[in-house]
Amino acid sequence: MSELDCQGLAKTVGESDRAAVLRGVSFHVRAGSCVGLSGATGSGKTTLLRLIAGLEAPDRGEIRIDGRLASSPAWLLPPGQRRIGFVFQGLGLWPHLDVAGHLDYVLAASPLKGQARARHKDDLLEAFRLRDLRRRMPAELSGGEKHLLAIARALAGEVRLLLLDEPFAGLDGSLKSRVLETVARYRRARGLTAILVSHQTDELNALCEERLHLREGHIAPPLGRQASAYGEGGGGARP
Amino acid sequence: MAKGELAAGALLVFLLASGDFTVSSLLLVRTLPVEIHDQLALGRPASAAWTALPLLGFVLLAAIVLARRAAPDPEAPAYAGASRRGGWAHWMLLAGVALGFVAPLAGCAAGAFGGIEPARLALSAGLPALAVSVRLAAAAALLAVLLGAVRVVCWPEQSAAPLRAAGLVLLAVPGAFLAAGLLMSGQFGREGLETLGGAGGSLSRHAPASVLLGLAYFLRFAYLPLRLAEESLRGMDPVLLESAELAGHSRTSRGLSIALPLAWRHLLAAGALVFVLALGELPVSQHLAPAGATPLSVWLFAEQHYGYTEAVFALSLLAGGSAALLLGLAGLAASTSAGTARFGASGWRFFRARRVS
Repeated sequence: MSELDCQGLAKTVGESDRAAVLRGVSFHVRAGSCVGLSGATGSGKTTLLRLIAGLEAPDRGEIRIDGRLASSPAWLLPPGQRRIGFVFQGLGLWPHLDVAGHLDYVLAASPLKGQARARHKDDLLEAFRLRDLRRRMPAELSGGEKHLLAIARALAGEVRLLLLDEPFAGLDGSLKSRVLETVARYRRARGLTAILVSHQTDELNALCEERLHLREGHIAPPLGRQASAYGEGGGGARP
Repeated sequence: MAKGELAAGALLVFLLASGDFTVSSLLLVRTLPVEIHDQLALGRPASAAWTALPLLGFVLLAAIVLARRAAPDPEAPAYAGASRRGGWAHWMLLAGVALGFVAPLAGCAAGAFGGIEPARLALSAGLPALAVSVRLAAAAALLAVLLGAVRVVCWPEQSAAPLRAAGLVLLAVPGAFLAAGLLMSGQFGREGLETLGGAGGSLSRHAPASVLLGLAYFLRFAYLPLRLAEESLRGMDPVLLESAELAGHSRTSRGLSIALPLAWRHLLAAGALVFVLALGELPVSQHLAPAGATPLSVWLFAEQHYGYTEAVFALSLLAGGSAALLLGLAGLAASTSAGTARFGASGWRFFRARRVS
């Protein structure tokens, strides 16, 4: 588990017509908690996750993971050294690797070796109900199985922080409940710190203890359920 | 966007046509490339260089414009609308084959079946020429695939516009000019090796002249693997590489394990294109053909000038058939090896799982 601290993050995107997406975003995520992040389309949710993952550098502000400076305009810790798992909106499964190949490739770069590595892989296959599918290619998986594989891959590398960018989009009904339940159980069992980007209340309720809302490049004042968390002062997310 | 693509296509055709030697020489049209070829053949490299200067300037300018403008839109989904354009593309392909291959040869076909002489001539004198060309074209194709693979593995996330522009210049400059440049470089290289003595001198004496011609084919068509490698990378979702980066894999590992397996079809296509184009390349072949060996295109060109059109027909058919057979076998081997690799990997995993359990 990991503690995350973002202070004054600003980011401008676009090449010809540059637009400020984030204009000074500050929040804190306690170790072991899950924070839900919502906001209108284009409000900068994905950009914020990409900044945290180190896939982009902020124009202003800084990101600290466990107190260690990870990102600032002058310094960028490589994404591979942050121990972050990222489930992308489009999943981004590798079409030429089967289920086991996805986990093997991630584990090949992890510090786990030998039996520990094999055990971790087996745990993931078991937890995400992929054991019987390990020889299947992504094209041979159903929608829900693809989502489970994407999440299992994100968790394979001994991660401390999990970033979920609308990972349940496109799933409905019982399938979504099944995937949500699997992720929630796995996260709780390991006390994993996580940030979930979603518009869906059921997803946020199932996974997150706290919520943040992005509006016009800032963290908006808390509303509804969020208010209690902020009011108590001991919430996982503190703007 | 379609207007931009059409303009880039038109510019590319204009660029290649302005540097063409084969057709203009056969049709006795005195174009700039023919003039450059003749100047070089007469041993006047300085005159050839001055003659080529405006064309080279134009080619360089067009290469820069094409490299900047003709790059596909990274936001556009790969192969968008391809199914709708498929019908037209097939008709255009058929028309191109009819115009460029069937029609010219049909003119020669009538006399070809009149006797055994054309076939005998094609087999006796033409077959060795075909063998020389196939060998050199295959070497150039292999180098092209390697170049594409190196580009994909070393820079999977970056554009290589300057490299592409350089490849385009090599593709568009008149072949005779490129050949003269390579001849001079080869000469300097040999002299350099001679001065080194020992192993260098030995290498200089034993390096076959055909190596220079194979290298020339490769350089002339290097744009194709570079361009197709770029296309394959642009069509790839960046998230595929970012996921690997987050897992802690190095750039080379990402290139080798993610980008290369997804780009191999493009690279094989580039190799096939280079093979076919090198087989029919004339200006460079004519200048750099090693002593005692006549490449196919030079033999065909000479025969056409003598008027032995039936032999040209027979050997062209033979060359086309050989090229199609070789490319078909290469494609089959590639698809079989991909299937075998997957089957082998599955078998190994099954075996390992049994042992563990």
